[in-house]
Amino acid sequence: MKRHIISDALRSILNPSTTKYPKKSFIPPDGYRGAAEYDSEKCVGCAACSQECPSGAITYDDEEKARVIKLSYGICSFCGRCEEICPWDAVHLTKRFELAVFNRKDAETGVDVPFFECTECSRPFFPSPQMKASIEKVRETLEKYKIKQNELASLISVCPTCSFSVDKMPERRMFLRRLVE
Amino acid sequence: MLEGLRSFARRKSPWIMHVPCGGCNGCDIEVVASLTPRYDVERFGVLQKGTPRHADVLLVTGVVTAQVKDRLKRLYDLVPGPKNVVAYGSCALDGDIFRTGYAFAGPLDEVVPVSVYIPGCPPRPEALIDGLSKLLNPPTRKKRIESEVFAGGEAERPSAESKDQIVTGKREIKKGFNEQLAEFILFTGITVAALGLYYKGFDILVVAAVFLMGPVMKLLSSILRR
Repeated sequence: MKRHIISDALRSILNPSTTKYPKKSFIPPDGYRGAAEYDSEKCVGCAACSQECPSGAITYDDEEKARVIKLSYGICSFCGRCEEICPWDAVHLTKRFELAVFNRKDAETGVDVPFFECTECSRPFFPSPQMKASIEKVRETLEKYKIKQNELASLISVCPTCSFSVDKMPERRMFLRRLVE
Repeated sequence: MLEGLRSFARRKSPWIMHVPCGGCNGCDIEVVASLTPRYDVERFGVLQKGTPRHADVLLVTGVVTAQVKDRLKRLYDLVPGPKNVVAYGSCALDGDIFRTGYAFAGPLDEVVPVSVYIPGCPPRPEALIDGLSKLLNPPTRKKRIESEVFAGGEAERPSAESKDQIVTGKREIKKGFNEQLAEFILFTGITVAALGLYYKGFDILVVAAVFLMGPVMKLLSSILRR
């Protein structure tokens, strides 16, 4: 029995079970859910993640020229729902776990998505990457109904207040009639 | 000199008191896991204490509930000396999923002042080690200003570099030539003295010297660095 203990002790001297973490870097195993981070190139600013977040960690704020999406790590429960729901594959849970900060306000991440300006009154009203992406998404349907892409783009690049003005109505009505037929 | 010695001793022995406030106990399990031989925070001098009078660091896990709020304040008052509070887990920071609950009594830093925040649900034991090392070796004022200047005040925002670098590398401690020479002389001196004592028959002194060697060397090197 004693021999067994000695052999165990010798083995643990050669490869100790204690991690050498602060001196040696540590990479968590695959599938580890660490801090979520946004890909600013892929994010279109649809804010689907803020709708879906169970703990309400993701909020968006429409500022003057950009939509500011903010993820607070203090509220986040690292469930990975945002990664699952994102239609544009822009949010990812990285393996980053060293999140210790000295100020509570620092524990957050996010993206700024620029707004699209209305062609009539030049008032920013809609995230511009989302507009491009949505036009790309309906391309096949448009080809089916033989509608040009530019036509739709010119129609939706007008802000709601401008588009419901009197002089714009006939054009829109014509478009709708074509769709119905 | 005395103040330097005191701060050195404090940095080598942060005794913690674990205060589970409320929440799901996930963080408490991780704290216990970090005391096991696998992660072994005792190698940094961390000891878990059952009373706030012996502790330097209050390790608060879980959401601060209405019932525990006053007790937490009393616990904080009982901690002697330079007190530090570590908020462990997302619940202690902002409340996580319990944020809208009826018993939620505000984030931790509205109840007691907090030194380091460790987000995560729950954070890994490595994250606790990281937070403790950040607490014990805080960035100096110069370093902080440098990082703010070079990063343009957006040090926490993800950049292209930080995305590739998932985990930070090891912290290198650069030693000057003089320090290395001093350490070498000290080492050889101690070894020669130990051999001499052993030859004379003072075995216990040798054992004591071996135990004292590490702290004495670190103390001397810290004095030399200043």
